[in-house]
Amino acid sequence: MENILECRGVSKIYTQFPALNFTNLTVKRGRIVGLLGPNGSGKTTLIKMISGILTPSSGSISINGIPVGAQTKNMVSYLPERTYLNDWMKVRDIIDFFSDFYTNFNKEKAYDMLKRLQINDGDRLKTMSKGTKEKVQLVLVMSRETDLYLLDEPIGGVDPAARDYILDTIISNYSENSTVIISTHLIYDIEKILDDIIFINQGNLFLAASTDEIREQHGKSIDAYFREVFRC
Amino acid sequence: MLVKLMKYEFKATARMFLPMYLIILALALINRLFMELNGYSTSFRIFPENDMIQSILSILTGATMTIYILGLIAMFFISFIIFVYRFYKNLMCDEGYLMMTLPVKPSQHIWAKLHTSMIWSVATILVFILSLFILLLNGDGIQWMVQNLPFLFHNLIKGFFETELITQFHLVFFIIEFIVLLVVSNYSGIVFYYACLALGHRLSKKHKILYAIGAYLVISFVMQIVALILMMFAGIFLESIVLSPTALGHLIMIGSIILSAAEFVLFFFITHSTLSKHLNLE
Repeated sequence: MENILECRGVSKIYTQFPALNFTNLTVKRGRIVGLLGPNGSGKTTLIKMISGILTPSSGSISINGIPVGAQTKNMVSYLPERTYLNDWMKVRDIIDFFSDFYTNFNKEKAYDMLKRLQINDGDRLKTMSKGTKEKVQLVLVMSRETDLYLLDEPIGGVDPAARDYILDTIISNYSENSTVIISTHLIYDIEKILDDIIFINQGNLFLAASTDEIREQHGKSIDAYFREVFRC
Repeated sequence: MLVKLMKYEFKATARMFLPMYLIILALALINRLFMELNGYSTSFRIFPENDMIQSILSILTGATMTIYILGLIAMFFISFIIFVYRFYKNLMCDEGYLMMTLPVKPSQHIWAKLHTSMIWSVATILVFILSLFILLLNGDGIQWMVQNLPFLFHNLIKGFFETELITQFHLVFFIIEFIVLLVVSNYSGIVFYYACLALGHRLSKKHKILYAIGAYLVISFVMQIVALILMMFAGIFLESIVLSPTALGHLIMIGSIILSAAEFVLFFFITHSTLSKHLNLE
């Protein structure tokens, strides 16, 4: 299946406030896609619907041709913006948790990444700083060998050195057949690794094209083009 | 999947239940110690009866007994709060991002928490009974049990088999009905609170707990009215029919079971529909 993700007529309406109003969107395999848009444009809403924790008001979303449900959750690895790990566990507990529920979780890879980040598997999540918790979450998400990765602001609250490490981790850890969708504001940092771009504005799909096409057509970087399009 | 979920439920909730159980058992032990110092099992009294220091001891004994009893009441209350709080925190707050992206059906999440809560309910009762044993059981008690229990038990069994077959049948049926009612009403009681939380989650973005409490009050009120109406109808219906006490007893039991089961289905449905189609985690 060439299209890993298909959204058809998807919309999300919160009591007369349309957070998302798409027509159709397809994303192919093996691409790194940037989901870009100003605050409140609907990026997180779309990602939540793909990952299955939010239900569309209308339309359908399917992953590998299968509608969103318990089965597709195995194919999707979702990194939310917030920390969602339960405080009382130790790092090794949450790793056991992931490998218990997900058949495609690679324990060795996870431990390898943690070692490089100098995070001890006996540490309690409760005692970690926010930045360290976010790194643990990223490790957990990228250690899953799935078809679709959804990363919501993965480099938002992290220092520049860690940002580089995270971007390198993303590139080196996804397989050729997988797709990574990254939602972010920090376009300048991430532009270099993106294959495709999706622009969202006020819940509407504004643009969906490859990075090269946009650069050629408009003769500027994605970051510059974004500032032009979404000028306040 | 259900078993895996329950495993993690137990791990997460044991941290709250086990310390509480240990405290209750420790309180029972401390009380027992004081009681023995006051000559409970033996005639040994550490202080003479009328001594002032004995008065202090008596006050202390009374105080620890009060703490123990309050502790018991608290234990049942806190157990219940743990079930409800756990559901809310694990599935409807930040941890919901983790739980609801697992390749697991929402119904499995609900069942895992229900079964775990049920098992902890039984454990709490067992701890209560154990604490009573620690508090009260001594040589005299054991001697009484050893002497009398086999005899009483034997009489009970003998009496049972000496009655008519039909009476045996009714007795066994009543016991089964009672156990079924206990289990079903326990499950429906807990899922009722889940449904209130689910409704609070659905109806409001910023005041979920407030709306959940509101839902609780409204639904409780409606349930009471429904129960009243049902009893009125039952009364009218039963006036026109002559029933033996046994048949009436069975009718009431089975009616209660059906009512509890219906409540369970309704509240499970509300909870499930919220988790699967109306989830909106912040």
